[in-house]
Amino acid sequence: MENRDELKVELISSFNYVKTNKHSHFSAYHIVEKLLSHKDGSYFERAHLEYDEMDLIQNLILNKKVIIDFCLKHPEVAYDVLFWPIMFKTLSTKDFSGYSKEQILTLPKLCREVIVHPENIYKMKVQHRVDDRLLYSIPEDKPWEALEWIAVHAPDKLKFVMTRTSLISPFGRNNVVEHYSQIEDKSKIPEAILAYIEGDEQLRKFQSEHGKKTSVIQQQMRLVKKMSWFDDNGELLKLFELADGMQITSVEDYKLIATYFRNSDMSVSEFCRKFKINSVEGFKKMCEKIALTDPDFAEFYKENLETKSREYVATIREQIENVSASQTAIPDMLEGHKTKRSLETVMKMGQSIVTYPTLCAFAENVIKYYHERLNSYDPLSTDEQEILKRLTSAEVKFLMPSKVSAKYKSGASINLGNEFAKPFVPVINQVNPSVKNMVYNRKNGLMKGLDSYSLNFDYNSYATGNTQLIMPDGSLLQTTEAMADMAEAYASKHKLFKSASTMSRIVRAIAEGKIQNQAETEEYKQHLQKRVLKTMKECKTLAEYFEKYRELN
Amino acid sequence: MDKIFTIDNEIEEVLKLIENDKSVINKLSVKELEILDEYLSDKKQYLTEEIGEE
Repeated sequence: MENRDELKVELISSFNYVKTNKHSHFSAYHIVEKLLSHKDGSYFERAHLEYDEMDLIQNLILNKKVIIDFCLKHPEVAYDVLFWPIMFKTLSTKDFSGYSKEQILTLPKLCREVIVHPENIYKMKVQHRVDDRLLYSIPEDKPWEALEWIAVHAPDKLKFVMTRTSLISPFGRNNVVEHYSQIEDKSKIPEAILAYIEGDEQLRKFQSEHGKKTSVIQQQMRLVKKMSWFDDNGELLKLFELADGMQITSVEDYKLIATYFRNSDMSVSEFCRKFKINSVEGFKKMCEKIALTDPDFAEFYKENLETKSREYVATIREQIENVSASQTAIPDMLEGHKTKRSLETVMKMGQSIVTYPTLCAFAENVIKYYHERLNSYDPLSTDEQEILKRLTSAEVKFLMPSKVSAKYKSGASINLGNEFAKPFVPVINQVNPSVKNMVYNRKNGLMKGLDSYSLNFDYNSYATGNTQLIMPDGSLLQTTEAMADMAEAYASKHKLFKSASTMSRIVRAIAEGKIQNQAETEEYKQHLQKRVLKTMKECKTLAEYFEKYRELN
Repeated sequence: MDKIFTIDNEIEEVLKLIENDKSVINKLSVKELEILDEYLSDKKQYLTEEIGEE
């Protein structure tokens, strides 16, 4: 093993190089490799990293490509790295968009442990947005066992898993129906799967009765003409370009993009906007080509085109009117997975589809609703937290278009400072003053709600000694309030992201004497005390002035 | 403090206690002071903006 001090010097110099040469994947890659290789086979989560190393990793997380490349090269640690909590929370399907089918198919093998252990999948289901990561975790050698486990333990995810006939899913309607039709004893099939199959058979019957009218020959001629992905010179057609210089180099790349589109539940224009695809027409051509050879996709695409445009105008208009008339209509509109999109649509289309007073009434009711909803939030309930997360991310955009954007830059998974919200500001400002005060109060509540997600450090548990940490020598450490305070002060002073894992490492280091910041903590405490007293005084003066001003006017 | 205060009403209660007896602030932990600090700076910003608008 290399000398630790030398290694640290090397890491820091490599990191400095990465900072000044942002596109140097090699150097960032080099750092990750070093970090892992000198731990004697242990990996991020279990490694007792030094604090400058933690910083390095946190910065590297911003460059997910480096991490994924690393996992593909080092399969022995890929599971641990990809399912490292910070990494896991930030990964999304688009992070895998630059990879080939073969590479992506490697990932389920690495992550099969997740599906094998019910606890893990439950954790994934309730704590994270599962989406395609659930598919990545299905082991290739026993997919049906995994499917049945999902049917029993997470039936709400069953449809999602079974309807993704993609590169990353072993299922798909035909496969599912075929597999289970071979099983004679239907009592062995989970109820949720049976219901799906029966529904599917009904659908097939309808299709065969009312199906295709075009002749087979005509269809085949059209297919031959339209299904080619290459031009006359044999070059791959360039239907559109992606942002950030990402290249489409194969038909598989197009198919992968189509899979992401299908899984996204977006309209064509939304998807192109979100992923900065430069030609909507080109994207549609791609979808048409895929639809020619993939009936499932064809069905999805046709339905998507027909419904999405109608949905936008008609549903949103009706919902705005309902919500403006009564708060009871709000849950239907804003507690689904389309919350953000619904609000964005209202913000974008509001005044063009309903009257201005209706829009004001809508804003007022939504603000009041959020206020009440957030007040009834139960921090002990994970599901409740998931709802809060959805509500608050929508609320930030809706109510605070510019003010809070800076605060959560480091840890947030939320994009703030949204352009959509700007036209809505005058509407919010017109809402009566008491609601405006409510907005201010909610901002504080909101911050704390967000804290529970993005910071995730259970200060109370540490301060009251309820947390026991396992030390490197195997002993148990009983935490204290002083330790928790020192960790807080250390993290604040060093501007560290206060995730649970980071903070537990800091507390360990404090207990081991690696961090000795008693004096620094005391100094920080005094600084905070002075600032609190000063700001209290200023607020009092401002409030008195405000009161007087109002009386006089 | 027995537990960390988190909601606005609780924070205002603590501020009142400090207003009446400045020594209360010495009993607060770093975490609690950080919460007060953030709350007050938001409040100050809000009041400043309100006065500006009026």
